[in-house]
Amino acid sequence: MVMYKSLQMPTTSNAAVSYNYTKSSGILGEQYMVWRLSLMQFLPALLMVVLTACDAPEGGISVTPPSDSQASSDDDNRSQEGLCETDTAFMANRAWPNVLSQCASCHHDGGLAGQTAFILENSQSALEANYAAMNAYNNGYPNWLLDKPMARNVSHDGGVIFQDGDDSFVIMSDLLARFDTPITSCETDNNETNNTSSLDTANLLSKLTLASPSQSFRQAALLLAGRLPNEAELALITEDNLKTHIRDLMSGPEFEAFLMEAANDQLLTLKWAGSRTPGLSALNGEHFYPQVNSRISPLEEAVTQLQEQGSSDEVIQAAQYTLWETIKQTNLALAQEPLRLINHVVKMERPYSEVLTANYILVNPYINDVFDTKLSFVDNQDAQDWQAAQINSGYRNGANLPHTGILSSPMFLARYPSTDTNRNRARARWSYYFFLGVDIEGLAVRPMNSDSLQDVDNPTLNNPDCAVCHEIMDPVAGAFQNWGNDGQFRDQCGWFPDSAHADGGEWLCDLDALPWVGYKEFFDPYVAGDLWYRDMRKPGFNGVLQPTNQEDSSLNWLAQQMVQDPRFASGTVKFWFKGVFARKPAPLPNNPDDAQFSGFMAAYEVDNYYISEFASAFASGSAGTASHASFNLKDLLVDMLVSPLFRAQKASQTLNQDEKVALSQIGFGRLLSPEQLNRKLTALLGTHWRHVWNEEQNQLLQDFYGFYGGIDSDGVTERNTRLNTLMATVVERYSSEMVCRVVIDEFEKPASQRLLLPNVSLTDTPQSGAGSAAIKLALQDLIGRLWGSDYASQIEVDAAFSLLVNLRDERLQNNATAVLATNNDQDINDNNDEFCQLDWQNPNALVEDTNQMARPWMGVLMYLISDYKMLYL
Amino acid sequence: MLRRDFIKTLAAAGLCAGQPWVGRSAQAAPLTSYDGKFFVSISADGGWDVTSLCDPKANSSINHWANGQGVQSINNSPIQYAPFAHNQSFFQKHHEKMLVINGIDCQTNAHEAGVRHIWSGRLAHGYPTFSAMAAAILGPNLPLAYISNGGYKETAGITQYTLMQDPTSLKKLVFPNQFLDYDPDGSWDPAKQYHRSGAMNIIQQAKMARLARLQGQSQLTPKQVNSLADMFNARVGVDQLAPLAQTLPEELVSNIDKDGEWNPLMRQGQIALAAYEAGLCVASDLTMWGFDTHSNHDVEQTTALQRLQNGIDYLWDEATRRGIDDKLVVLISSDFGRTPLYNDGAGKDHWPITSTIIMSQGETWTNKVVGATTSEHTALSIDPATLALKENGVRLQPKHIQQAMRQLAGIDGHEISQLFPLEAEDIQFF
Repeated sequence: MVMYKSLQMPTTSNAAVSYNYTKSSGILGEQYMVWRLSLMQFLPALLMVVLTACDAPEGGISVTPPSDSQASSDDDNRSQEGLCETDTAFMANRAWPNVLSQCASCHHDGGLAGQTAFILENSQSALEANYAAMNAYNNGYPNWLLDKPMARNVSHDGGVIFQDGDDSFVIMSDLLARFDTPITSCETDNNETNNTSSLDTANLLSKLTLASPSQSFRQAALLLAGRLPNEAELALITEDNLKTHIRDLMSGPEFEAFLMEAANDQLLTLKWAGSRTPGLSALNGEHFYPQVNSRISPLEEAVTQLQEQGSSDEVIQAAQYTLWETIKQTNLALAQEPLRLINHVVKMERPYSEVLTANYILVNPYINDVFDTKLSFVDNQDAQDWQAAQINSGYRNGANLPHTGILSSPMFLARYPSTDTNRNRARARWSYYFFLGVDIEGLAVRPMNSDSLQDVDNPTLNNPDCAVCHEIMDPVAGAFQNWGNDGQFRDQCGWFPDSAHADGGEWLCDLDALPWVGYKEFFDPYVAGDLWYRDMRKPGFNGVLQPTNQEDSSLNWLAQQMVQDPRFASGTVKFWFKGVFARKPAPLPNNPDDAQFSGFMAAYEVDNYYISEFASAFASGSAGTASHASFNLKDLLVDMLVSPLFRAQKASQTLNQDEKVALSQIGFGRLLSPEQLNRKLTALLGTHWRHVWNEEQNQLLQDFYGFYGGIDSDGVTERNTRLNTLMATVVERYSSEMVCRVVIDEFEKPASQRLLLPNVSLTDTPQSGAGSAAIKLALQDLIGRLWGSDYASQIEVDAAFSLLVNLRDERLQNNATAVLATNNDQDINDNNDEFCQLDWQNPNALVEDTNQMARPWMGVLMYLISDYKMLYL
Repeated sequence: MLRRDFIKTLAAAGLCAGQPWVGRSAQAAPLTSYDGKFFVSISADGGWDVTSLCDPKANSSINHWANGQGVQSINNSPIQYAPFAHNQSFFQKHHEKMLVINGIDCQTNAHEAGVRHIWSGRLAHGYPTFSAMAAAILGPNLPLAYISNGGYKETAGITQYTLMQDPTSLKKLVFPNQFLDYDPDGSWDPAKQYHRSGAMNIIQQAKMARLARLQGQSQLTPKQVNSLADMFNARVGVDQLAPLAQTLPEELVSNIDKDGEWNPLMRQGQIALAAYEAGLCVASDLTMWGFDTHSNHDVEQTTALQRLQNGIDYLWDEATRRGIDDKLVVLISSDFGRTPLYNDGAGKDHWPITSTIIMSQGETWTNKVVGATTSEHTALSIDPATLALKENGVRLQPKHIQQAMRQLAGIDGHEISQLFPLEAEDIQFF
């Protein structure tokens, strides 16, 4: 691991540079043309770069070296002559934020320097432990706390961190002095410095109150099953059985939808479901998948034939519809395939590692045909029937594709393509991110040395500034060696010299994925038969080289390494974090001068604490109900859903600003996604938001999906999770449009068949005591159904009743029509218009309401389904 | 329901409308319409090749077009361009509006870091985009103050962005109670509203009172406080959308540009201008992708640049048509640049040195070039006061551009700006 430091030198070289075109005869051989950079001016001190690692959650760490402004802002906190600062205060106020946090980001268990003798806890809450650890290290290695980061007489893989006289040097020197002469207290006249942090994780969490077991179960049911539990269900929930009951929610199509939406929010393979970027196009045709068009071609021919025969428009349109529908289903299936694998592993309660190690893919009838996996399906049109399969004859030349779970998924590889210069690095980066929770790009967020950035002499291999990330990334890129830029297996050709051959060799294909143009054609450094670039690091993972006998199954080997890595568990937690909590884990803040740094740091530590807890239990098999094997994702999800991160419902009134920031993302109050809201509306109202002229069209998932925070997995990849004005207008619109038909449908049914208003009729009016009582009881039930019984308080029932009365009074006072739809053409304005689709042809249909109750019920329903309790979890 | 009525109601109930923690003072007079400068930031996603655009390098090792062609100039202008893509028509038409800034050192070759650096002025996480800052300061209560079409859109909590996708259904959201699924030119004259206006007023009052009760609960978690505040602000904004009905186009511009390419940039610009003309928007981010040309650079970069130029062309034409071109300020940039050489796949890789173009009409600081690079496209430093090249001067970085935009918008001294200091030397761009 290499660490570098960014120093702003007193003067910056503005040297013009000259470029020499030379051929390097170094390790890259004679024919490799490189740029050589020579500086015309050279300053003794160069701009160097500090990297502070590495095993951080997304966002990574950037290092801002102590600046002049920061130094001045620290004046008040420095130990100065006459000013006493206890060791604890010194650690909290100066040592940790300015120096030790940087050290700890590599020097912690599991970090890039995790194998060294100098190990800290990567937390501002562990000041005492870290002080002790540093003291112990200093005893064993005197002065190395200065010598190492200065690379003074002893090497430091992290490079030079500071120099004599820097602020960091002063702080570290002060620390060493304190080991000799500890300062445990300061005499003051009145005040003792408060050296404890209110932002300690345990202290923060103590300020939160969790929702009750039944309330928590209700929230989980909405998220996992898209429904509200009934009262009987809720009455059974206790703290002891909460985990079991939550686990029982994890089945059925709604749970599968939750899983796949959450997975796609990360993997974004649904990009390939659309017509603009169809999955079929990503397969690159029959050259690689000979049967790719086996289902579609006959349908295309059928349409052509019908057109040539002069068939009727209806017949042709029907055939075209079948064709388009087949294409649509095929693209959707292709896009879903990696998500279906995850779904399958979770549903079957297999170890989650199988998402990477699976030697199969999931197919439905549509892509069974595309991949020619030769499975049989009961219904060859059933897009929901998914089975495990392998691609053999379906790939070019009948190659047995070495399936490796998601890593070898055609759409995953296509979603994260490569180029001849990228060389699978993007795939490596995303594999680290999705499955080990390591953001490689986030490891090195710092101003980089411009010389290094402009270095073209294979910098990823030779330049330490670049190698610090590429050492991690490039071996994993090598493990993808058999997969071409677009995701096809060994898709390239090349000339293979053979003296025994009459032509001196032969042109062969399907033996590797290395490009001929620009690489193999030079035969330097390439040697015929190579599978990977010789001017890159060898395939491997985490310092372990891939065995040479694993070349054909390099990705399988990588998968095995990854799932055995300790970070796989925490990586899994981070992958599912967004799906469960509707947010990413709080990033590690990187500038102590930033406003609210302390709050953000505390937020990071809370999340980090739970990520560690969840991961540990997940890996050990003690997660969830602890009655299944380790790496069972359902159990992980249970742990996440019973944690304060999900269940926090109340907070102490005495939160200070930093505490508010630290807790700002925790607990109740997350906005449902459009998919989740749709499921909720459908479950509660018995219908989705239909288009007036097409009942199949779901306006929330189609017309207004993007406005309400949906993504297209292509250009828009992050959901908007905060309600803005346009989103609020979507709510206004669906509540306005849906309620008319919903209420009319209710009152057209016998009471026993109603979902919302089974115990009230249109003859119940507020004018009578009995009517009022029936209405209030119905409102209580309705609020309980839509918001949850806990929220059907007397205040809210009364408020809803007042609303209903006011709406009815308004109609009566203004002689509103009793017909449930009206367009008064005599009016010069439309203020009294009321649109509703009524069934005028059916004499039994409800089209008029002389008691003037139906429209008030619609108004109440509007009020209820646009409420905070409907939109937020 | 108007904002002032809403707030009066809450005040009568003894409650305060929830406000985000920064910048939206409850004491500030609510802004209902904005007619200041309109800031449009256009991102050329992936790292554009400025040596084939506004910082031309006529070296055939750097650019194949240099085999036979040279740097192009414009009469009475210091702006030069490469004979590439639609540069000729683009620069000939727009040079008088342009401040070209060359030699910007992005200090990274990583996409995410580069995007963050160029659009926020800081390499590290946590700083908002200029668009977010302008929206927060100049349009704090506007419902569409900050429109994003993707890309980097960090707000750091100072404002909200609206993601504008597929605006075909936008009119239905401007009038959520209106029935619009009929042919206005047809013979059928249906009812125009789902609910009578009297009923809607009563329902809205009940919703306001309900929200006030929710916000008045004790022991709310910070997350609940914030989400209720979001709901309050979002609801208040609903009634402010009405002017958008006057400015929304009857017909959306085609997504296919004059080169036959799918080009959503035009429609992004059209809707952004409509929102601005309605007085509801301060800043908008537009996005065009396709610049990460690691292979087949000449073809791919040409296509991407042409799309970008077609989109910018349309933006100005549409602004002129609407009579708001004098208000438009356009900032065009990218993650970083591309190498001054081709790789073995005829592509170009990442390069930390890039350029930015700021466009505005009728200014004294346009039709100029600031900053420069060497013939090998390394950055040269400048004198911040005279803008002349100067050894040991200031090496331009994204923070200087962001600082400049804040100055241009008149927000550099605002308390929100102070929360996100750029520590940039003062470059006298304007």
